Amino acid sequence: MKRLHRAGRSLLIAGVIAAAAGASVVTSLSTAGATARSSASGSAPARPAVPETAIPATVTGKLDAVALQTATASGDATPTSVQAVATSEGAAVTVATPGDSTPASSSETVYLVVLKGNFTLGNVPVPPGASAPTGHYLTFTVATGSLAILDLGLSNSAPPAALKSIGAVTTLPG
Amino acid sequence: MWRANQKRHAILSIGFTALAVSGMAVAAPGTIAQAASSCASPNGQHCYSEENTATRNQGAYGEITASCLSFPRNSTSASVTNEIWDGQSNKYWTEAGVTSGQGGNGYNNRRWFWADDRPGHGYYQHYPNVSAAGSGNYRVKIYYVGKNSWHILGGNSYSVIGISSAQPVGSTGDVTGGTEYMGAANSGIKDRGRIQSMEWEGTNGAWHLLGKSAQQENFGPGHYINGKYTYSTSTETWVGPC
Repeated sequence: MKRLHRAGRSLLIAGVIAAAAGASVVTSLSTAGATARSSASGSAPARPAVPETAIPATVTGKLDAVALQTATASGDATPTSVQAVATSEGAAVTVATPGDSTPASSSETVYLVVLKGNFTLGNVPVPPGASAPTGHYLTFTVATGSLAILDLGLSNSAPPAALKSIGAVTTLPG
Repeated sequence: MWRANQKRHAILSIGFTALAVSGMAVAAPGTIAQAASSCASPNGQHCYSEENTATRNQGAYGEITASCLSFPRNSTSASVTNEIWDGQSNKYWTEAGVTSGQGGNGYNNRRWFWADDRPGHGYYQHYPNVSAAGSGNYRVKIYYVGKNSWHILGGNSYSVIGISSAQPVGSTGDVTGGTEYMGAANSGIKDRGRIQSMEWEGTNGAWHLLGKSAQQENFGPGHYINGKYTYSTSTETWVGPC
């Protein structure tokens, strides 16, 4: 089963790489469906601004490297898919870490990266006695300047909102 | 997870060998021997020195003094934290504190973080955009604010650094404070500090010092940092490499 999965993954990656062919595949989609981030009180907050632009081509290579480093450190160096959007931090955390938020979350633009694979976070802090978190969807937000990861999530469930609903999707080579 | 943890706590007093064969242990005896030199494991077998009390609660509080807290940048998988944990229903939790070393986000140096694992969700970790912690005494608090939401206070200015929602107060709980480390004694790790004035909040809103209700624990595969719990001040102190 694992071997079959790996084989399928390799085919998928080959396809993605072929499609990318040296340039990121950028799909411009409507941002009309942008979701507002949740708040602690459950009241409807102001909808964060959603950038209309795609991730700059000069950044996609670096962002892909960050994604691969993170995937490798999380136990899966060959994720089946890697997608990213440029969006507001407020919108990004609703996808990356739904239910969690930070006061600083705002309209400031970040990159949101979503990877699909088989991940284990062996080096993150957990309570005494807890197992290392595992999951199939690794998500993280990245500061646009430093490319430092700000928020990171790992879940067995797909993000609650489609990436295209919060920004123009870029498929990274992975 | 937390229920297993509590059972394991009881077993700890019998001895580590007994723990290893109990079935509640995090690894088989052979694995423990293999991992004894590292305290680091890709499957989460980390080491701890901490104070802990098992009680239904809606909040945890502590004051972190990270006298020495660093980890070499050359590691790709290890880190150290000084932090508090608030556990709910034996399997969910919120944690907050300061970390150094390689985390899920890359390399950190005395960086504030918080994380949670809530019903119906996965593991989420956050690195707020606040200044790195110094060597002073910093308050950190995780507490219920109603409507299944929790606030996380921390940072050098003791402000809200995170909001965790969709997590009700459980019928059981744990409050823990201490250090979690994931590297061998010779890894270059520095970890010396304390968490004082540890408190838990009852469901009636009253805060209580852990006091005599807490127990002190040092454990993990090959643990080498030994702590001491002073119940009169509800303080866990540990003296690792520095």
